[in-house]
Amino acid sequence: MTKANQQYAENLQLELRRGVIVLAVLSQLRQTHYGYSLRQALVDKGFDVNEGTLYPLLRRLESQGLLNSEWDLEEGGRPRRYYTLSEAGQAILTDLKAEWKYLGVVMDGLLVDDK
Amino acid sequence: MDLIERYVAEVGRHLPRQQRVDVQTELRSLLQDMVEDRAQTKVDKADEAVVTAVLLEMGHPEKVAASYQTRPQYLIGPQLFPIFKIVVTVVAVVLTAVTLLGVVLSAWNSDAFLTDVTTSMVRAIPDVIGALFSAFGSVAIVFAILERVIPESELTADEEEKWDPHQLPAVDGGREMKRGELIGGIVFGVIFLLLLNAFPQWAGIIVLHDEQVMTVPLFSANFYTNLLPWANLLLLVSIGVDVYKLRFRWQNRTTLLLDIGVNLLTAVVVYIFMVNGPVLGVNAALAQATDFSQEGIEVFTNIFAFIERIALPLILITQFIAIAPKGYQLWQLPKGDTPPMVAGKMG
Repeated sequence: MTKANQQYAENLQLELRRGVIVLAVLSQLRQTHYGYSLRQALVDKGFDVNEGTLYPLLRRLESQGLLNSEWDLEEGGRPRRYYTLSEAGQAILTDLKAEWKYLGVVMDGLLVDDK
Repeated sequence: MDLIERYVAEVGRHLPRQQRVDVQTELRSLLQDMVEDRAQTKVDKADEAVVTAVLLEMGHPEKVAASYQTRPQYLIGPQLFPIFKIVVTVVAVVLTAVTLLGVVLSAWNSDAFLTDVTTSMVRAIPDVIGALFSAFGSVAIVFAILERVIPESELTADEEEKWDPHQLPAVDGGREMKRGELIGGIVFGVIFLLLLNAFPQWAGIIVLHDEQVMTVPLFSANFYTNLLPWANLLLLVSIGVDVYKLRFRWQNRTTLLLDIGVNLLTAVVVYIFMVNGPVLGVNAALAQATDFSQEGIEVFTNIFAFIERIALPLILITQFIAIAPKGYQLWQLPKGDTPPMVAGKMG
């Protein structure tokens, strides 16, 4: 593979991952997380995501009403903003999950190796 | 630690004031978490190399700040850009045409008309270029403000939803509206609007008097006092419709309806002119400006009275004649039934 094609393939992979990042984030926010703990939860399950993408995304999802957030300003501790799914976020997660499962079946069918 | 503070401050500089402190507090906390996790020690004891690596991984401060913005960071977004392009084109053409017209008119009385026009045109080039840049800037500023003032929901109103496949022109049918015709119509409309409102002294008949070229006003005082608003309304609506048509270029249900609307408005305005005339008022001014004999002036007066008596009803009838084929074309267009959805279609 040429260097240009390699770059193109990497960009496509990145696009693919970007497409599912919202679903991945919503799936983990059924439990309350702050930014870094969420990132760890995702990485632990094999979904590596750049912090510069993840943290602003949390804000955007919150402004769209999919997440609720709350500051925890414990005395002497580090201020942390905790995020959890809102009711609207839960509904969206249910829809996205169904779509993902459907796509998974379709894609498996499409990508099956020729015998 | 100092690097984190500098990074957080730099991100804050590119954020809107209302969300700055909140985002900065969260970002600082997250960066400290990252550093402590990597260095396996308290953040203030962490090696600078670890802090540097974390910040590099996080990304350039401006890029991170841009990611926090809820609205896209461009001057004029993709929703408004097509209209912006049309307005810029129209403004550029009108501006150039009006400047050239000004050059021609200013040299009108000159003995060496051609030489003067050529010299004035060459001299006008830098002014035209300057005016074009200035107009481009003004239009861009207006659109940039619109981009920020119009609610996001309005801007992102899905074009797909409004789009009707039945309005697509037939492969070998449907009339393409020529860009040149439309721009010509707009330029003519704007020039006429300017002539009537800003330079009424030029809206007239050119006569030679005492070896001097003079312009005798064509329209009556009654026209300027009572009928001008109607003429302006008609011109503005026509210009607006042409600008709208310029966006789509192909005749469809909406453009046909708009054309019929303009015809009806023209008919109404012409009727108002007929009832509240006179529109033309050349006789008195012509008598003042020329050495014509009394008979000559009478001939002119009769001609103009005749034109007004015949032309206005003729224009009125023409509007209804013009509506008929458009109505027929409208009737011929397939009805906008929604096609059945394709089951399981993705995307």
